[in-house]
This record gives sequence, C-alpha cells and structure tokens, in this order.
Amino acid sequence: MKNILKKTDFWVGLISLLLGIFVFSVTFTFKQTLITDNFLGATFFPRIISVVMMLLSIALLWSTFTAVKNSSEDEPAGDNSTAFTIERMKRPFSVIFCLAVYYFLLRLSGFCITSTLLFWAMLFIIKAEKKKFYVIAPVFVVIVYAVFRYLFLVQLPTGIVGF
Amino acid sequence: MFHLLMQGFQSVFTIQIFPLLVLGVAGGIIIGSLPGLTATMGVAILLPFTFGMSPTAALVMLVGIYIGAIYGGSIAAILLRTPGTPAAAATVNDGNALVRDGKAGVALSMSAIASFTGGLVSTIMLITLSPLLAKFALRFSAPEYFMLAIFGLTIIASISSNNIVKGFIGGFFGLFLATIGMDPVTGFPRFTFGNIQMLNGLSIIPVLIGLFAVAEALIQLEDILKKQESSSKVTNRKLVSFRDVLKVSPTMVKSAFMGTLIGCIPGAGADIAAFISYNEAKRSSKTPGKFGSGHLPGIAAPEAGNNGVTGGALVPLLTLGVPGDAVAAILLGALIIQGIAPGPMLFEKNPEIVYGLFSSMLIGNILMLVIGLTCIRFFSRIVDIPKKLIVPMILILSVVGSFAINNNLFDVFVTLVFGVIGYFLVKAEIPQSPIVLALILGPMAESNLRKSILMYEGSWSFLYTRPITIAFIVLSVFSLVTSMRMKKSSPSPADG
Amino acid sequence: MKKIISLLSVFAILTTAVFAEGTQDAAAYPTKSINLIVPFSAGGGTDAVARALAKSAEKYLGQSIVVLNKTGGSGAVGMTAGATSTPDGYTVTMITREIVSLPLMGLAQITPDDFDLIRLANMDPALLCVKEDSPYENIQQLVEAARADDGGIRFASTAKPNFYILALENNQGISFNQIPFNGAAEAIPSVIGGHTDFTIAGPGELIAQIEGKQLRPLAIMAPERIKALPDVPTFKEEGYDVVSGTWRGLAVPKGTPEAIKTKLEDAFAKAIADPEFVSFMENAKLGIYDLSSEDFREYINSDTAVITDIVSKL
Repeated sequence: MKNILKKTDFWVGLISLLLGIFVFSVTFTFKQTLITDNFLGATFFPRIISVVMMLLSIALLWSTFTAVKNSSEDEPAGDNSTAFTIERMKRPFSVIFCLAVYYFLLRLSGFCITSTLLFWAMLFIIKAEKKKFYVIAPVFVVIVYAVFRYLFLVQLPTGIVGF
Repeated sequence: MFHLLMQGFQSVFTIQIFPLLVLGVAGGIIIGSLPGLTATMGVAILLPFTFGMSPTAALVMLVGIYIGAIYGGSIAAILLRTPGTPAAAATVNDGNALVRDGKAGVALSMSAIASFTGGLVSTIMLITLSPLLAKFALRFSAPEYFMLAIFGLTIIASISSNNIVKGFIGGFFGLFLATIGMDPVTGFPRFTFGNIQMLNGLSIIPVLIGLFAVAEALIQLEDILKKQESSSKVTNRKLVSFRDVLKVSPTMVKSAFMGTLIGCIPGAGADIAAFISYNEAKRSSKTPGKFGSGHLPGIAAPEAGNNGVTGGALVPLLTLGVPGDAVAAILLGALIIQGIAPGPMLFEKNPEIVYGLFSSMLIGNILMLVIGLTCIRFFSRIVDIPKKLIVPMILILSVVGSFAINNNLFDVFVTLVFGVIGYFLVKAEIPQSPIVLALILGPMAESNLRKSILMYEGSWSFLYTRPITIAFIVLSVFSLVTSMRMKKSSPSPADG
Repeated sequence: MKKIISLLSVFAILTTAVFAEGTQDAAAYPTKSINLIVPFSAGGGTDAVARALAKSAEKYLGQSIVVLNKTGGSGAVGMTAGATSTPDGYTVTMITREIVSLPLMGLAQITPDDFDLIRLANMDPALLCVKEDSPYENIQQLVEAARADDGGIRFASTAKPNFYILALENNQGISFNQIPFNGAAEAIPSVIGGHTDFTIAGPGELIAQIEGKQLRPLAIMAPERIKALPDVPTFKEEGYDVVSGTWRGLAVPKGTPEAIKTKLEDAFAKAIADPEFVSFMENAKLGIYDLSSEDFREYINSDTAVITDIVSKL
C-alpha cells in the first residue's frame, strides 16, 4: 500500500479534495450584502462547484487505490517526463525563485534593469556558455521595452530609475 | 446589393484606404501573436488615430486589425505552445504537436487557411443573412446563455486528453477560479481575502499566459541541458498540401458557420467558438483518437471557428446597435465618433459605410491569407532560435504581456503563480485547456443561471419551457455521452 | 565579462541622466508625456471620453498624453492607483461616480478627498427606455404597474447596484425585479428581445435603438430636457423628483503643487471647449458638463449626500 504515495493521481485527488473542502467551508463565511438576491445567493455556485470537486477527487482516489491493489508488485515503468524528482525539478525551481525575486525588484529597479538581470540569471542557471547570449539579453529587453513603450503605448514599470 | 458591394470595393481599392487595410491586417497579426496584446487593445490604441480619417478609412483599418489579431493568436499557440489570445487555446495541442514533428509550416499554413475560410464564410453570412441572424440572437436570454455555457462545459470531456476525471477536476478548479471576485448579482466579494485587486476576479489573460507560456518554459528547463536538437529542419518551411486542405474543408465550413452563430450572440465570443468547433470536429470525426497529436482538423476547426466570429460579432452592431464583443464595442465607438449611429438605421442612412465595411472584410481576409502564408518562412524561424535563448525570452514576454493587458503589476503576480500551478499540472498530466474553458464559461453560467431564476421568480421551469434551452440540454447530454464512449473505445490514444 | 561591465556602466549613466531630468520645478511643467489613468477598460464610455479629451488637451499642454486603462474592482483599482501616484502632475486620473459610491459601500479604501480635483467634463443623465411595442405609454403607467405588481416588472440593470433604479424605488416606495446585466450592451438586447420590460442607461448608449424604433424613451432623470432628445420629458415634469446620472472628471493625487494644478485646469478647460471635442461629444450623445475645480468639489459633495441616502436605505 506504500506504493500509493508514489502515484501522482493520489496527490492530485488529495489536493483537489482539500481544495474542495476549503472552498465549501469558506462559503459559510459569506454574508448577505447591501443588495439582496432572494433565491440562490452568492453561496450557491461555489458550493455546487466544491461538492462536485470533492466527488471527483474521491472518484480519482478510489480508482488509484484499486489500480494499486490490482497491479500488486510490478510497478509500471512510469513516464520519465513527468517524474517528480529533484534532479528534474531543481532548474525550474531555481527559475521560479528568480521570478519571485524579480517580481519584487520590478517596482524598485524598473523593467529594463531587472529583466536583464533575470535573463542573465536564467542563462547562468541553464549553463549557457555562448558569450553572445549574454549580450543578446539586454538588447532584447531594451527592444521589448521600446516596442511596448512607443508602438503599443504601454509604459512598463519604471521603478525609481525611470526606465 | 451587388451594386453597393461593388461601390464598397471601389472605395477600398484607393490609394488612401488600401494601405491602411494592409497596415491594419499586418499590425493585427503581430498584436495577436504577442500574448497579452489582444485585438481589443490594438483596436483601442489605434482608435484616436482614426479621429481625423474618413469613416470608411477608420473602419477599414480597425476591421483589418480585428481580423489579423484573431488569426495572429494562433501563431504563438502553434510555435511556442503559448496562445496569443484565449481564442487560440484550443489550437495549442495539435498545432504544437506538428511543430515538434518539424512541420511548423504545415501547421501555420493550415491555421492561415482555416482562419481565412472562417472569416470569409462569416463575412458572406453577415452580408446576406444579418437580419435573420439578429432574430436568432434576440431569442437568447439568460436561460439560453446558461445552457450554452453548460453545453460549453461538457466539452471538457473531449479536450481532457486521457483521463476524463482529471480533466473535470481541472475544469472545476477553473470554475472555482471564476467565482473569485465580486458576485455577479449581489456584489459580495468572494474569495478575495480583502484584496481589492481581486474584486473584479482574475483576468483571464494573465491566467492563460501563466498556465501555458510560463508553465511550458519551466517544463522546457528540465531537459534543456540535454543535447541541442539538430534544429532548422528543411521540412519546417513546407506548407500544407492542397489535398489535405480539401479534406478538412467541410470541417472548416462547418466551424465557420458555428463561429458566426456564436459571434452574433452578444457576450459569446471567439474563445467559446474555438472550443465548440474543436469539440464538434472531434465528435463527428472518424478518427477522434488522433486529435491532440497534430491532427489537421484539430487546427482547422478552432481557427475557422474563432475567425468565424468576426462576421457574426458585427451582426448585433449593424442590426441592433449593440456590440457583439469587446472589439465590436470599440468599432461602435469609432462609428459614433464619426457621427454615425450604428444600428438598424445604418443600412438606410449610410449604406456606403456598411458596404465599405463588408468589402473591407472580404479583402481583409484575403490579405490575411496572403500575409499569413508569405510570412510563414519568417515566423517558423522562431523554432530555430536556440532553446537556451528562447526560454528566457518567453518568460520575459510573459511578464510584459500580462502587465500590458491592464497596466497592473498584480496581473504579473497572477501570471507567475499560475505559471507554477501550470507547471505542476503538466507534470501531473492535468490538461490546462479545461481550466481556461471553465474560466471563460464559469461567470457566464453562474450569472445567467441566477438571472434566469430572478426572471422566473424562483422557478427552474425555464429549463424545459424554452425551445433553445431544451436543444442545448440535448446537445450537452449527447456531447458528454459521445466523448465518454470515445474514451472507452480508444483506451490508449497514440499520444497524450 | 568586460562586455557585461561596460553594459552595466551604460545603464548606470542612463540612470543618472533620468534622475537629473526628474528634478525640475513646476514652472517648466510639463516636460514629458503625461499619463491619464482610465479606471475602466478600453472601448467603454469612460474610455471614449478620456481618449477624446486627451487628444484635444495635448494641443494645450504641448506634451503627449498616454491613456492607461487600469481596470478592476469596478474602477477601484485604477482610481486607487491614481490617488496613490506621485503628485507631480504627470499622472492624471479620470474619476467617475464610482469614487463616491464604492467607498460608501465599503468596496474601496479611497474617497474623493484623496484627490485634488482638476475639472468635471461630462455628465450623462439616466434615460429610461421600454421596448417599442411596450404597453407602457408613459412613465406614470410604468410606476403604477410596479405599484400594483410589487417586484413583478423586470428591469434590465446595467450595473450592480443600480443607483438610478434605487433612486426611483426609494422615491416612490416601489420595487422592481432587478435583473443584473453586464453593461448596457447586454441589457439592451434583452429589452428588445422582450425578455425584460425596461432598462435605464445613458442617452449615448440608447440613441441608436431609439432612432431605429426598437426602443422607446419614457423619461429622463435630468434637471431639464436634453438637447439630443427634446421630446423626452424629465422625471420631474412627470411628477417624480428623481434626478440621477453618471459623471466623469479629471483629478490628480492630493498634494500636487498649485502651479501645476492651475496649468492642468487651464489646459483641460480649453480642451473641453475645443470644437473637436465638442463635436465628438455631440456625435456620441454624451453631455458636456464643464465645472471648475471648486464647483466640481461641491458637485461631488452633493452627489455624496444623494448616494449616502440611497445606500442607507438598502
């Protein structure tokens, strides 16, 4: 039965079950507002959604359990591309971390500088050797900035540096 | 009518106007292909520049952008798995599967041809049938919208690759996301946790960019150190063969027809049309198992469907004076600025404008095809950019796109969060499209259900007393049953 | 690595250049383009007014005006962003009636007092319309029908909550069955299609259907009849003391230097009187209502009183 913990579907089912319970319980904090709706109210739809979500998760959990039971020992080889291993996930996670830092720096140091730094950081993480790539990074960022600023009239965050 | 149409053609083929149309279509394709820049935005940005133009010139340019942008959305969807607009989300799987096989040219040309067919059929329907279509649109009220949304949600079964339960879990997650923000009837803030940024709910485009573009970039990072593929395959440039186009033409025409019908209902747009067309193409296909693995109808149907909306969306504008979608709303503004009130009087008072619009749509669609096909050599170069360079570029463009849509940094945050969620979804083999579909249809389903109940003062009888709702109930059941059957008969599809 | 360092130094030089530019006195204002925040999406009525006004004000300011649509929270997001921006005159916000109503309903943390007002540009009275072949010939018949059938007459509401209908309901002690639609574009077809009985919206949003004989106006919530629809009586004429409408004006964050405010007000006053803007507003059937910054403040105060009264009765 330990195998079940290795099954992605088990975790999918569990997380969505928890989400369903969470959504269901939050609806009980909804109060009637100034404007009234005598029939279904603000809670009806989220409750229906959460109940169906719980049922679907239970169905998924059930089918995973039975599948594990029936398959006994011979573990299916499993698709490598979806494996949750540290080896596979360390680079995506480093980049996610960079993106989080990037988001907070964006309002401070503006789009151009922060994005160039992000670009360089990612090139470093993916071990890009070519020097050319490091030069392309700021050029690309500045072109994007200029196109959006002057052509599409979108002022990207400037931070305190002004660009 | 032909006489007026000829006059319209004459007015478009002038030195002042024709270049504007070319500019509009080309600009639209670029805007559409960049995630975060939508047809609505492109049209709105250019609106002030049209103030000084003649009414025909202004409309021609704006219509060009509209047509171009809806097609443009498919380019990024196909090449980078990043739908440029929500309407291109249904094209992602089949389009990108072909690119991985080194057939970028085939996918892009299929999309251009399908978009052209969709636009053309729908323009012809607009010209010939608009009073009839308007009558159809007016029969839609809250109960019909509600059932249309429910029917749309049953499509989840057919777009969730191989595990329907997981597809529906994704779909209901999307429905939950759709309830975030102010409740559509009473204005009660739900699941906002006191954050005013969330009062109007999650904007769909930042979620879309996160789920597709950011997630895809993160997935790519896993294998990025492995051998660089021998890029620049010669086959990349090859276009779709004439025989294949002929084979999918019934699908394209059918999708265009459905797109037009959906387009003429105010409030239902290109995104819904694309998914419904995809679903119908798959349902009626003899080889439904091939969908999702680079099957041509999987590109042709949604692209013909979403461009089919372009003509339909103008039906309510011209016959009722109300816009069929956000872009039509801006066209309405453009007409008003020119001193022309759109609506039923337009055909009598300003036929030259109506027919100028019709002919510019016909020519605009041809231009879109020509520009689309000639630029494929150029677009498909994107595939040749080294992965180590394109992944950071996609991430930065995702940030820019999500910011641009509302000029709001919170949307960047939403994109990044959904990027991480999307990454886990891909790893857990939960398809992303059901979430997007549910996010589009959720608010439509809820607000119209509650509107219906209000209209019927608490009774649910609208479900079985109105002919169109009954038709949709039948269609929904049919759609669910057939896709369940499909899954059973083909337990192991060739490719997820 | 040298390349990177040289690039970084280029960035540093550019940074200082920008900083130097930023510290200028009000006399030279404006020295760069001005952002105009529109708290609603591109393509709507507020956006149309803002873009037309920006275009004509550019002439008098000598700098370009960039329209930024910052949407969300029924306008709360954009107006909050505007109120909390740097008070240097380079961020102007289009404020609308929601700046009064949202804080009163507890849906926004900012109030009109967070802004220094520049100029009121537009006011649109609310127009009540029924379907062309509706049995209701005038507003009295509709009100009496509602009195007889409490909550039975279906009203296609363009927003939630709808202050126009609430003003009428409170005034007459009647109630309608309010069906909330997402804007006039969705409410109008439902009236034409016969799914609801009537709607209330701005004249600009209804004029096409009125001219096309699909909708019939019954009465307008204006102090007096409007030029665009001279035959439509006001609610007051018909015996109901209901005046309501929406408005749009310009504001800057509180604490903006006086000299800059004066320059902005001068420029926008000229822009509002500009023939190009006037003809745009006439074509779009949008009402020009030009109030100076002081009068604008008083106008907001009186509107606050009206909405406070309505909200307290909810």
